[in-house]
Amino acid sequence: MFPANFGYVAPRSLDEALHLLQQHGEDGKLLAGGHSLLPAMKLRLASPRTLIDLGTVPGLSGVRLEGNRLRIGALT
Amino acid sequence: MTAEAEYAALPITVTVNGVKHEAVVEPRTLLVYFLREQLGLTGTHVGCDTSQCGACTIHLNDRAVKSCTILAVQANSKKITTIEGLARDDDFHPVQQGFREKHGLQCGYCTPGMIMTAADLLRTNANPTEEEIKHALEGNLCRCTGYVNIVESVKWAAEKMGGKNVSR
Repeated sequence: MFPANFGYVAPRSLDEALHLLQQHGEDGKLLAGGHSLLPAMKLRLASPRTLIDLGTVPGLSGVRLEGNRLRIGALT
Repeated sequence: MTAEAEYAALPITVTVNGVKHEAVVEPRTLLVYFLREQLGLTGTHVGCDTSQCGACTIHLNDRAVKSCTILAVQANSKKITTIEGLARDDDFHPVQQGFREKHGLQCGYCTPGMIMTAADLLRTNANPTEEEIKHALEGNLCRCTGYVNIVESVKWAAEKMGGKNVSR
């Protein structure tokens, strides 16, 4: 099985990702781990026009102690 | 931008088993099909195609992942190791040797995926307990063996590696 055709963009920064998300609006979907989105796309339950890959954005993963808070990046 | 331009095929560069490849892929091309059909590396198998069985397991930047649920474009600029890349010249990887010694396969369909997952486990945990082996292999299904010899094969490999991490 494979997804319906779509466009793919790989932003290099969070700002670029946010800009792309705004630009594509309803037609754009974020790709992170992809293990919910891609199975859905393979079954054609979802067919976004454009995937915006967060995997290419640096700084979204990691576990850091900030003062008395533990910050866990969303892509960790 | 026209719809056609949006769906255009994209250039990617991937290093697979130490060899750099430049290719052009549609965004929707799954990594498993790219490896099998464009690179001819058919040791990686398509089982369930729904991320459950693990027959498609490969290493992406040294970590075991299910290649049926990864786009080829996501592997751009990354390092991939498939089952074909585990052996060094004529020397099998200890996990491969273990599957031979301990009869860890019957039809062999799940085997490349089992070996890739086990190799990743032993890279980070050189002395796993039986429970840890079973837990690590939860994402790999086998219809033939009943898993006992698979676990024994991984145990044999861990001992063979003598608690030393094999970096491949």
